[in-house]
Amino acid sequence: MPTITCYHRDLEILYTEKLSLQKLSEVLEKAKAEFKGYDEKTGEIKIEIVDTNRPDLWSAEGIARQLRESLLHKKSSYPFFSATPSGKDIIIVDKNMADIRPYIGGFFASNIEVDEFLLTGLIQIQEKLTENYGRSRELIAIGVHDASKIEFPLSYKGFSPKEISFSPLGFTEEMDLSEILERHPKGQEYGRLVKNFSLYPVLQDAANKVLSFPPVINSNDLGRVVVGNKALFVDITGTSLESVILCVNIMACNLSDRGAHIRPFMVEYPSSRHMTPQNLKQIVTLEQEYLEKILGEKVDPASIMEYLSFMGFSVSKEENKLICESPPYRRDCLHSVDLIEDFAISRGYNTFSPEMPEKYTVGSMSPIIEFADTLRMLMTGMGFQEFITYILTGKDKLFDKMNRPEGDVVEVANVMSDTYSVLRPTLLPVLLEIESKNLRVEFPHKIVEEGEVVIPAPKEILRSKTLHNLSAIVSHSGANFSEIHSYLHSLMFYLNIPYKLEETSDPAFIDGRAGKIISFNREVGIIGEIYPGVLENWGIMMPVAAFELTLDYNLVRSEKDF
Amino acid sequence: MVLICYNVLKNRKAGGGTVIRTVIFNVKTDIIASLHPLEIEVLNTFKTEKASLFWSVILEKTGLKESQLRTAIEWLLHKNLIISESTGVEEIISLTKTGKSYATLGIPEKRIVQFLSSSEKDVTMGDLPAILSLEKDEVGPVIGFLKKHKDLSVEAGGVLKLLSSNSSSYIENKQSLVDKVAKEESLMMKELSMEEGDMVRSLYRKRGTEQGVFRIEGRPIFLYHLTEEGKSVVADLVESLKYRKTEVSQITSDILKDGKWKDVTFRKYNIKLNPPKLNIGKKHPYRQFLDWVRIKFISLGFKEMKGSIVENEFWNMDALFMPQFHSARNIHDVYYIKKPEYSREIEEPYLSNVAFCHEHGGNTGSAGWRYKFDREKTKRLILRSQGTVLSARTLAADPEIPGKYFAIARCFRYEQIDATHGTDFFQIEGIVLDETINFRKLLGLLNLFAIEIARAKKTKFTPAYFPFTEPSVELQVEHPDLGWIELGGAGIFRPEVTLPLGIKVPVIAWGLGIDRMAMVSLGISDIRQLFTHDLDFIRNAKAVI
Repeated sequence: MPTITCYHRDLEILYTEKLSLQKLSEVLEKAKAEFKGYDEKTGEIKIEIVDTNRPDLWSAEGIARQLRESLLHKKSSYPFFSATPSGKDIIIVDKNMADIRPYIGGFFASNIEVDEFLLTGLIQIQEKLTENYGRSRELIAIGVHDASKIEFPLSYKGFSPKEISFSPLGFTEEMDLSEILERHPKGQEYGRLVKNFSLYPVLQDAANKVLSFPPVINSNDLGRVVVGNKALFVDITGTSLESVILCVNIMACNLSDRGAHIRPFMVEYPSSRHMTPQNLKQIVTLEQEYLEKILGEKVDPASIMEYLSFMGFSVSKEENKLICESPPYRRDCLHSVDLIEDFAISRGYNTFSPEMPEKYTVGSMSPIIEFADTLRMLMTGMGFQEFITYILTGKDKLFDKMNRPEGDVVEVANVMSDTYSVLRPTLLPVLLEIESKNLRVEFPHKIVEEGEVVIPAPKEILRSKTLHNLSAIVSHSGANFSEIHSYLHSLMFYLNIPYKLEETSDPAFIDGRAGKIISFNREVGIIGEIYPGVLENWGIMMPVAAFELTLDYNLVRSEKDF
Repeated sequence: MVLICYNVLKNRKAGGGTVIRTVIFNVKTDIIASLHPLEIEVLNTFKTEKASLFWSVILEKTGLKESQLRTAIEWLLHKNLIISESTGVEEIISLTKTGKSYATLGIPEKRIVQFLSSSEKDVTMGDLPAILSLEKDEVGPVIGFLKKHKDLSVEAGGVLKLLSSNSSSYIENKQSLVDKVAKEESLMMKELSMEEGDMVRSLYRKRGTEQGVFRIEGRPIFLYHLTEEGKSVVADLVESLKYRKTEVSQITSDILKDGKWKDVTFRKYNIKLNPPKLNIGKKHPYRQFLDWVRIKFISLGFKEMKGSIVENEFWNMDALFMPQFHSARNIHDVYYIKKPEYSREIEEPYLSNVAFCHEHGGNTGSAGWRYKFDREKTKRLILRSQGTVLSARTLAADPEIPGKYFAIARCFRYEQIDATHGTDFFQIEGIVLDETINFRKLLGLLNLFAIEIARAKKTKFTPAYFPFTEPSVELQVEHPDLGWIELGGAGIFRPEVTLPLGIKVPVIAWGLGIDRMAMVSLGISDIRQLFTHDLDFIRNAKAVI
């Protein structure tokens, strides 16, 4: 969820009225946003926008626009969407860009003077659009330039890495494109987006001066914006035409809200052309009946139209349908349910009176949990203290420390740390880990955990199985096989599940004191005295005896064929 | 409470008055009633005597064993009925290990004389240890002693010859002194005659020597005085005891069987003393909390869902209409499985329905996300990142309509572990399916959760965003301890979620964040403590109510 920082004063200017912090925090829900703090020293406020589908809100301009429309009912007007680009306001796209970074858009903003507020706002929206919405410049990237130095029209064309040189932003020396990728911090960061192509995108003016090397870096000459600039040119390149146009629209509307005069540009591809900014006219039809069914109450069509207009929509009525056109800076309405939510937000969620669902349903516990709970009850009744631990663990704990040869486990590819890199297939190691951390705590120790474990199962659709296991250990100076066996025996007695033990050899246990637990001819667990070498690996100075069971709900349902 | 009342009494004595006298009476009665029989015996020795007695006098008068008297004195001191005064040191004589064996077997001198007088064969000094079970180095000095007292002589060849058939009086005296000390266990030096005293001193075990028959120890001589309260209790004791039956502390099976319990009184215990805390078997407090939540949902008519921890992207994300380019789907948010990377085939028709829905909306009336759906990526195996995956799978598994489902699911997010993030965490999620579901019912359901789960009286609903619900709402509640908190998020599943899975009725989806509530009820501030390995902490954690 994007969080933006903006000046309180700037927000008030854009809103066109006073807006106290108290009031602001109350009304921000209209923009699906939350007030996150105010810095008295700088006058900056922090706002979090929860809707990841509305990049138009990720700036002071966008928040102010939504609040202006929702609270002051002031409709924003952007006449440049219906203007026609004049003669030289053209970006010519070379055919060699078709498979690289095909789409571009841009506009000219005059009648401004770049000040602290404008510059902060510009940097803010540029960063949010390119990083969040633009997926770190892959989908879209933005360049802002000092327009007074540019000679139009512009050309957008691919060059081989060593074919062209310019001074990238922050450097005075000229570098070719491959040098920029190697040496410039932004080249190192975003080079991955162009490296696989033989040609790199370059935006040049009519005098062949470089504006930018999208999506990597602007030029130090034309592409540097400072306080005092009087005209700006904004370019947006990307891999999706729809996204490029949406972002051009948002940038243009934001600057227009600060008083800029926007001149649209024509983008000419080898076989087509389009204008930017451009109203995409996203239209969604809304049926009143559907809205009433979803919201659960009768609503007057006029009020629907009115409340939707406060969210920026242009709504017209056709029989019992409402034709809703999104404002040019929004592209988030995929379905009429999106309009229904906007209507509800616009009217206010708290204007809907809650109503209890009246249908009768029967609740129930999942059978495996019901079974597990019975075992937990019996184990705690026998004096065991229950634990709960993480499912992610480390291989060293499962194998090295347990003296067991490395076996198959479900491993995580992108590990955060080796400590949490595999899914536990068994609970016993973590109980020994707990034991190793409680050497000085009053004995005897009787601990138990019941929980999910995961084992590889190549034939399953998910290539694994999630099972419920229960493991228990006893530790004190006299802990031994017969003691832990008596607990297992009592547990099985009360569960009324027949079982038998078969000698087994497991390096985690003392040879001759370990057994497989067999029930209904299935191996369901293991029991034994922990091998002293394993205790030594864990640094445990007390004998430990343990068992572990896989909870198979079928056990209680099985035929008594023992 | 006895002691507290007693302090009140002391502090207000000057004031007098009926109330205080009642207190005095009660306090004294209580003290007398709580006296142990041993204490009563000790106090009784004071009764007719002066108010001050020596340890030895009390011992003699009561006839108690030393250990019993020691206990009784300690109790009385503790109750402030007597005080003690140390008046010097006295010598206490007892038997050493050797001395004790002389008491049972007889002193070696006597045994040697008796043996020689009855033996017909010649006996040498070397024969004695084996015959009489004596230590070799014990025999030498004894023979020397007997020679000195002319009881025997050593002839040629080392043969021992008895000079008198009766053992000398010295031997008899020594034996009787050993027997006397053995009978009393310990004696005071001043209780012995001069001769006995000399004999003890010649035979006592000196510090550092192995041999020796007697041990002499110095012990402080204590004089015990009745306190004012003690005098008052002693004065009333006789009267009180007239009505006192035999006192019993522990009820036994025997006195129940023979009916003796009817003739005894039961000694009062100090029930205000704290016994030791037991380490009992019990549930983990966090699991107890989760169990409580589970029961709440079941009682609200929800059926529990369970599922796999390993999932594919299809059910975890795609089926929930999260576009494949969604920012929450990258390597920095979700754990991916190393090997194998992909699940087997995705179940049809769900795969195609969902793919079309992403690409152009399918038959849902949606515009879709308008990109090429990757049917390989959707099989990528991951760790379940949200409990909603269980809801998606339930929708595809012919759910009941009307139906309510919930899950308490372990979920995994790629996050650095800190005070507010763990590698695994529990999500509580669910759905409600019914033809009559709508936004107002959603708010009603959330109100119900607020009351039942968070015990909140006030709720607030604010707009929220989830890729799979529209409208989406966030539930804020006024928690009794925490003030306004976000309790959860909810919404009505988008048609892009329900229709591809074959569900034609509206479905409410909700999720609650209850970790903060759990942490408050467990009194912890670090989420990692929910999964702690600290046995002491878990043993001492209070039950969650």
